[in-house]
Amino acid sequence: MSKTQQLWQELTTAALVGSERNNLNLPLADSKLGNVVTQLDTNDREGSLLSNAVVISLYNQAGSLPAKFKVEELTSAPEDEKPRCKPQAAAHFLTMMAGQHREVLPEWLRTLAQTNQRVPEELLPNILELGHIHSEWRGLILPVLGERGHWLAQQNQAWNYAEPVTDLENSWQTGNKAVRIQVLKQLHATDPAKALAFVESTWAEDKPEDRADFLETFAINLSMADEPLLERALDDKRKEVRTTAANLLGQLPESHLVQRMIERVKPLLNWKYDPKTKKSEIEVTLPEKCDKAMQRDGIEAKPPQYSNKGEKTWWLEQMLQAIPPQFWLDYWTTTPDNLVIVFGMNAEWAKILLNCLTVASIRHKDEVMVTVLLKLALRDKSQKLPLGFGNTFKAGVDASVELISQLIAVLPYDEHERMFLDTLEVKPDANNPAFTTFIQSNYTWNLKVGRAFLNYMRDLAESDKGFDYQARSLMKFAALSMPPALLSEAAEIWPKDPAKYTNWTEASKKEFMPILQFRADMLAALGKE
Amino acid sequence: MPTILTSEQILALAPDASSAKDGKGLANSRKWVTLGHNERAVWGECQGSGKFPYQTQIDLAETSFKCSCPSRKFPCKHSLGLFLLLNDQAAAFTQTEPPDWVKQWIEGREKRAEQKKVKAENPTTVDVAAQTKRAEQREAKVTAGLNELELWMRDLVRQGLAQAQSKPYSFWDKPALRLEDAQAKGAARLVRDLAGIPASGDGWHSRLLEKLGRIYLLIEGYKRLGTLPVGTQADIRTLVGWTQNTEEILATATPENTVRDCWQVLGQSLDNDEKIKTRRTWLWGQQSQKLALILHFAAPGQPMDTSVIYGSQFEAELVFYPSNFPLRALVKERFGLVETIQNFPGYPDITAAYHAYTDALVRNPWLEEFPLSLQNVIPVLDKEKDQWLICDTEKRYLPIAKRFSNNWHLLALSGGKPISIFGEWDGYVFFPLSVGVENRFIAV
Repeated sequence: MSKTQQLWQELTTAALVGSERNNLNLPLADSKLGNVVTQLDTNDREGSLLSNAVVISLYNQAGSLPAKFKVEELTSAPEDEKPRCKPQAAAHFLTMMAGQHREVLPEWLRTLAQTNQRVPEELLPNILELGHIHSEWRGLILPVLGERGHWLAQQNQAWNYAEPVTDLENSWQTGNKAVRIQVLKQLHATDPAKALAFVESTWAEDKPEDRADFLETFAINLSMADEPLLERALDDKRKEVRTTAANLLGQLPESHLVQRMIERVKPLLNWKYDPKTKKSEIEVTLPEKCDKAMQRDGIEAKPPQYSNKGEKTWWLEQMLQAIPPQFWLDYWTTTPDNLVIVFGMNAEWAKILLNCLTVASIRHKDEVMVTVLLKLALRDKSQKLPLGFGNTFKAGVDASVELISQLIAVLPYDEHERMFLDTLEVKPDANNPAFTTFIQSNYTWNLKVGRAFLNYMRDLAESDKGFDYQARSLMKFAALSMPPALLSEAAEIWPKDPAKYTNWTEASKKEFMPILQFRADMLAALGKE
Repeated sequence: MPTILTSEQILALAPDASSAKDGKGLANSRKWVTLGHNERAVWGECQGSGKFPYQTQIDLAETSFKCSCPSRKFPCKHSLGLFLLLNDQAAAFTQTEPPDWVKQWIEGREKRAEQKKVKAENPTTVDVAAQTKRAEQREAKVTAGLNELELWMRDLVRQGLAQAQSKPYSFWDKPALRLEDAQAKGAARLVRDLAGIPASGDGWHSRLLEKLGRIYLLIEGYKRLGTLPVGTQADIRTLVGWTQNTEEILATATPENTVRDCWQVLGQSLDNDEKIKTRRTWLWGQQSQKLALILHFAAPGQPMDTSVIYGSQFEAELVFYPSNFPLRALVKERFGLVETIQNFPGYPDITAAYHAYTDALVRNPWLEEFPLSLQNVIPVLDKEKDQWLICDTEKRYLPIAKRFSNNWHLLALSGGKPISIFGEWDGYVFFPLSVGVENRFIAV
């Protein structure tokens, strides 16, 4: 401690105690400072304390330099090759982060990646924090961070999910969990065999929670090559691992698990043809027990709470949902349309059979079956649903919407587009669940579909019924899927006749146009027309 | 058309978020019936909900706005939209003779500027006797007020600072109120600012003693005012609470306290008191290397002056307020148009910057915020103490104020490499305001 620092120390101690109790007696040095201090009247205790305070503190402050610091050498970030997006694009990002048009953010991130640009440095903390809080956004965020973003992530524990991954092998062995999952996701998409090898190499040592998360990534490009690991996982101590493995194996029609299920279910369903009525139906026998082998294959013995399901029905359902629809078509030599009809014949079992068939079609990504089922879901109001579809595709039922969106997700884009265009031709009701789900399914429409939908909107606006609550609620989603190139065409569909332009029309326009406009501006700023 | 400003700088002028949003919406040539410009101004007519379109115009020399719309907000959304549009699509504006409504405004402004100049050069005669009497009365009140303050301080010191920790807010607030009654508002603020120190953590007694010392210096200085140098007299009077208005300052303009230069606007900070908003704008003169501080005030709900734009530079004559270390100034006259800053000036290391600070401190011991512009520094986190710092190439560091929340942004902009940072130093901590890196100039 320097002399003046010592002086200051004594002074502050004296001040704390108070001049009443303590008479200040500062060691006076023969120096410039000492000379000033000597001039103070020591009889005036308070005055000299305060005077000393100001003189010495000023002397200290003016005479010192900021201290030196032992800096641990910080490696600097590698150079970025990708360009920053333009300031206008950055402004759009901030607008969305502030809460306006937040639904457009995934498209912004995706487009940024597609146009090979990155987020500017001053926005990196915002976007890294977004990925920290919402792990579901990480897939979109990682490609646009640039070298600077990955470097920055290394400096902050909370952002370790974005640490740089150069050597996949190394990151797999030494990285944190979030990074290892990213490595797997990347590998499954490009080199699934390697992904499998990585997971197998550390399977024995990895933590059970980690194993479950790693297994989930196998949903990308799942194949029979993964079967040995998954069979092994059926015997894992941890339930999550077993359940995930069973779910995944249930999606592979050639897997042993599926074969086992088929053998169990074959005797339970019997196709009965009545020559009198010339109709067929399915006779159902319930399973007797849920043995260890079944449980190993993922069948839960206990039905879910509050479901009112009988145990045996519950077991049957789970097994049925694992059977690939193609099996039934081959086993009974029948067509998809016919299968649906026959499943629906038996009043007692129709609901369960058809529901399980739907789930199985989704699980096994059976496009043919899915198309048949979707056609039913999209039926016009005047057509009645076949018996048994009661709740499966009912308007306003959340489970239906979920199921329908899963069906839609199975179809390749072209099929989806074709179905959607066909649906639009018949001008469906705005609360038809399949129709609404199509719109909410977050595809980006091409110009053809976009124009078809605009026509639908124009016709709806001009019709006697006009827009209503239902139609208005679709507008947000439509605006997110509509190609922004159609912005000027979209501006024209709103009726000019004041008689047709109702409050609901205005409300719908307000839901639709700003989003579309924002998307158009946003894409232009990113350099993508 | 000269390079003007970035859209961020323009949007920063908006009085609130909804104006900024509406302004962006109007930055579209389809919303404007006419658009025109000449060397001095830019104008347009925007169709609103009324019968006739609103007439909006911008004086580019002083960045002033005028619009015929009924909005109370300033600048209104039309002004913002017009400005943004000019920035984005200058081609949409045709260079023509200004219409009458623009001519009138610009000529009116030029006339008023002339009048201001003339008035400044010929201050109006006042009732000298009445003025003197008021001044004497105030002097007497202030003297009495400061005497009372001195007694309060001596009491505190006699009993010891240790008990300061248990005192309620009123202990500090009462003497402050009495000083306000004595027309010594500045001294009142200094006393009120002491209230938070006992609760400010480690080393509080040291900081409290320092601040008390400065106030004591003020009181003693005031007693001997006539014996002190003119600049110091001005510093003491300003600190106690005497103010001078724009006319007075302009009237005292001499070649010594007037500086013409290209002034770069390096940083702005906003103090939001419940009673008043204070904006500090820091300027750096390119040739003179002088620092200047422009203060703007606004009552709550009132718009803040928009004439000095952050990140811009402009040629102007500044008149400095009297002080032993002149820092506060105001703009006397502008020349030419406002441009975006071209480069980031500053000191090469912390030592050089700190010398500038101590130079100022010894001339004005009551110096509070001082601008520091550092050219080669890196932000660093001291993980042990959870304290962010700015480090220069000599490994000297300045601690960053705890209340600064954008440290990660600094680090992101630096990437571990040296950048330029501008901010305010108050003797204890550094508060960053701007970063300059790779020809970019960013507020933090």
